[in-house]
Amino acid sequence: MTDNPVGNGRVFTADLVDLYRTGLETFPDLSAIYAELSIGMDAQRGPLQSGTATFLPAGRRVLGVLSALHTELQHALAQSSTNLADTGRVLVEVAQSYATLDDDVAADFASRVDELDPQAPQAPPPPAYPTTQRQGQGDDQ
Amino acid sequence: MTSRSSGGGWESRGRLGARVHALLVELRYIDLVIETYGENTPLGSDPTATMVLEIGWTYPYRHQIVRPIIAIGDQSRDRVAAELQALLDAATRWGEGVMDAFWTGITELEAPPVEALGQAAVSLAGTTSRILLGVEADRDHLLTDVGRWEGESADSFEAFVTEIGRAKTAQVWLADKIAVQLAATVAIANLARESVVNLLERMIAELDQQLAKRANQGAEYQRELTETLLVLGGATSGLVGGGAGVALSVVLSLIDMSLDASPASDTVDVVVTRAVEAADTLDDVRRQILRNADDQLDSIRTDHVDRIAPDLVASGTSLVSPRPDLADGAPAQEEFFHDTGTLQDY
Repeated sequence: MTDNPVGNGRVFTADLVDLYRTGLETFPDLSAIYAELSIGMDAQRGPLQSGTATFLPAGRRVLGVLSALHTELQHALAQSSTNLADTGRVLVEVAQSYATLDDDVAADFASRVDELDPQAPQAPPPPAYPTTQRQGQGDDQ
Repeated sequence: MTSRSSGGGWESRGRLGARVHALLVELRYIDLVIETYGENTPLGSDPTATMVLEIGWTYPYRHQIVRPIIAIGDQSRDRVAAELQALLDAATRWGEGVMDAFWTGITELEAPPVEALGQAAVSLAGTTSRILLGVEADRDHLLTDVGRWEGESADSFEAFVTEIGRAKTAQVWLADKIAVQLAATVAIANLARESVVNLLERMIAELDQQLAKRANQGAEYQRELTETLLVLGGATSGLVGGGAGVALSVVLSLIDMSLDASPASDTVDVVVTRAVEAADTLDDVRRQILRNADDQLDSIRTDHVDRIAPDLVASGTSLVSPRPDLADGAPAQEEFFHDTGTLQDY
């Protein structure tokens, strides 16, 4: 087990991917299920309400209570859909925030290395190849 | 013995009602003729004082009219014919009044969109399944996705997902309750409708029998009805109209869940000897059907529906899946997950 709750090194990167994917895919998928359920329940509202207006005195009372509960459940499903979508968005932002922080830390690390050892060897410039080298070799022969 | 609807169902109520209406009018007409002109006397009495007319049309009833008629001539015949027409008009008006009152009372069973309510119950049952299957699968997926996270961040996330699961359980519980009680309500409405159809069919048989009896005029009646009881309520078959398919079995299973036993079947004797008696029976049984349905619905409400909301509150579980507080603002790592460690960790 690592001391860092979000992992280290390559594991840290892999965890960020998981977090990002969870926020970007899984929670939106879950939110979509709830959205569909609340839409489906909305279609049931008509019969319930028309039954409430027409069906024997006791029937009107029963359907009245059931209609109210139905509305409450539909609201809960719709609100859950919104909340789950928000949760997914937050996870994505958290993952991006971690990634940004990682980049900042890497840059900061490079900067500090520069400060500590200003004489550190520089990477050589890329070599330049003469475009006429092969022809020149032939002339020498 | 019992009588069950022989087919056609609620959709046939108009045809059955029209038949009851016609038979009621005919029987009332014949009863009025008998009341007006007296019981039949044996044929062959004074031919100058009697006339024999066929009354009615289902089973033409030959009534021998005995009255102090000096001579049976065209004039007397016309006068009797006018009297008979007046009796027929009276019987027709009476029959219309009886059936108008009957259908007015039945309006409360005509109006509910029973099939649509049944479909709503089935749809709610589907909602329950989708919540159970879809959300549970995704919940497992959620936990798998963050399975490599450790420490406080993983714990808080798992707690968060667990709260989603608890909300799901409450949602399923409520959807189940609504679906079952809605199905029970549909069942009661359908049972009442089935009882109305039973009543009409039984009444047709009784009226038909009485007309035949009068036509036979004392001859041994060959078609004694063996079933004299009308069943109100009872079986929960045929609750959803055609095309329900699988949905029907779902609703039936829901009803089995909601009603420990089918509503007790009430039986009533239907004995009809005269048209007025038939009308009274029609009215009495209709009232009983509606009263039974109302009582059963009231029982559903007090025993189940009214308890759903308090039970939900008592469970202390939110219906709504949680939402992280930090969703209201820009998230910081330390708000949702634990600190990121120090540079030395890298």
